[in-house]
Amino acid sequence: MFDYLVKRVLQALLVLFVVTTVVFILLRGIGDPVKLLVSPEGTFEDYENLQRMLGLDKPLIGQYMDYLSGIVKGDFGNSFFYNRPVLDLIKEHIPATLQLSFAAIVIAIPFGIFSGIISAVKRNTPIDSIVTTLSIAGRSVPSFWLGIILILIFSVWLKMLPASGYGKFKQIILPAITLSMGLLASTTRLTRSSMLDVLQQDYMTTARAKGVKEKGVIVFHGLRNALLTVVTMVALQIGNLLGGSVVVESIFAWPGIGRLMVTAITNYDYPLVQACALVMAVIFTFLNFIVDILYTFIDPRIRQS
Amino acid sequence: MKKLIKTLKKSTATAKLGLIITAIWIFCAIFAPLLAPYGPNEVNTSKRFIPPIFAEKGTNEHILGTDEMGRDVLTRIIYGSRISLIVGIMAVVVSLILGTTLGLLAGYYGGWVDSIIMRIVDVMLSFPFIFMALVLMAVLGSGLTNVIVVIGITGWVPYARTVRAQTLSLKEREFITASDTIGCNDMRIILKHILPNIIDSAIILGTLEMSSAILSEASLTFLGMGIPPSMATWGSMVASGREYIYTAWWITALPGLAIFLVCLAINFVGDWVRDVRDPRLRST
Repeated sequence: MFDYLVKRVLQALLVLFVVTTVVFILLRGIGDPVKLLVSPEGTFEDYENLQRMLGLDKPLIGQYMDYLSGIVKGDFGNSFFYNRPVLDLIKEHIPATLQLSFAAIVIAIPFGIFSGIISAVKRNTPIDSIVTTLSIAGRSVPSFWLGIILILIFSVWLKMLPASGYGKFKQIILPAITLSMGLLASTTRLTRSSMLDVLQQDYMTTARAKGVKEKGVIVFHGLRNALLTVVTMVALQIGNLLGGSVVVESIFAWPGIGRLMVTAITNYDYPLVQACALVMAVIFTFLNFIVDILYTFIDPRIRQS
Repeated sequence: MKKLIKTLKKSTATAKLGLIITAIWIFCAIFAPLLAPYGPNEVNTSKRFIPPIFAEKGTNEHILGTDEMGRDVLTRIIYGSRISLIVGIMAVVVSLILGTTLGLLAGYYGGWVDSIIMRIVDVMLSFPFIFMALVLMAVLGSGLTNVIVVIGITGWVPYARTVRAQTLSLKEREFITASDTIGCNDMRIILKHILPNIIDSAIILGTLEMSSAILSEASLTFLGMGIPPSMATWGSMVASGREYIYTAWWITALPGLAIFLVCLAINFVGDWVRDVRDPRLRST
């Protein structure tokens, strides 16, 4: 087990290193931030001064070395655009994204598991078809459009909920529903299929034969076994919420890291984009790592392969 | 052909609905200039914000109303279907070729080839697709070809994983060992014996991935990093209509509905094709 852990940690570190490098190289191709920042009346001298100030006059390999040594010291540099430490900006924006993701999980997981069970237990009935169709719909709906439709119905027509803003409970409802849709659909689908697998097992028949009531069979014998796969698969899906938040945050003007990153890309703000990418990659890799470890506990066969 | 009709007859209601919507969509894309009542960029400032026919004050001149520049919404939705069809097919083809090739190589050769390819997969999976796509779009610049390339090269991972897994198990089968024994070279074994056995599931995966390619294009365009607003696309219509949501909801709501319906239809059809051809994939 120890060897496996060490191997996985090394793999994760390698992935993070590659991500850092790839993003660094790609960003140099998107455009010249100095041109964007220097005032239109600025002379060539102003341009060169600014270039020196941002450290962009050095050769690429020198910039890369500075960047890497900075990361090791915990210094991600200053944002070109905001002229503040990148780490501070991320610290300010990450709570909003985490709150939104958390709210989406709170909506998606219980509803998803519940509807998945219902549809598996009532297999091939109208209820099952409705749930399955709805979960395909959840997979097909563009989140930016869903967000706009929710704003249209609940803010414009019914005037019940605010269309944007951050801080109040009422303001998180619409963005959270929008973000939760994809996860809700996949949780439903996964619960349904793993529940169907479990329902065919012999121990279910044994439980019924013992005289356990049908509800008890489903909840204690079925669900407990079905949930193992669901939990691990869903944990992997949670990483996707970060991707979804990029779009959802820009519809609802939610001050999170997704929106921060989109503006950073359009501003050619190298340090900020690099740091955002690294933060996302760390969260993703960490989730994958946890899931892998959990898996080996649940199913020891994986460790040997 | 008879067999096809027979399978179609037995298909589920959702699959039939999916096939009908898909057919309409493809028909619109091919015959857009003949079907559309106006030109996609025909501006008419005296006819701005006309509501659709089913709303109050709607006219039958503009069935789905007009936008902020007096352009006909129906016309632009019909033209937008072309972009979604091209992106949906081409991006899937790019990822399918890339993913199948890498999956075959990784599965067949194993060893360091497999390690390298699988580490690239790890890297691709370690951050959200949309982020990678946004950075790449910023590097390459907006435009139809670049959108296809970006969605194509960020979407190959599912194919590579499926193909690799299947190649691994096929490699151990007797007919592969037999081909090896009679002296077939690797290239021949891969192309003649393994590829035909795995291509089915790669194509089924492709049908299912088509809707996510279309959604990705629409999201990128919506965020202003995809296809330039001068072209009539569903994503850009939703984005530009968003400002007028309080006064003219149809400009943003209807093109989005088109994206939703098309993706729903593709998923209905894709799920059905998968269930018919390869029920083993159902749980994934």
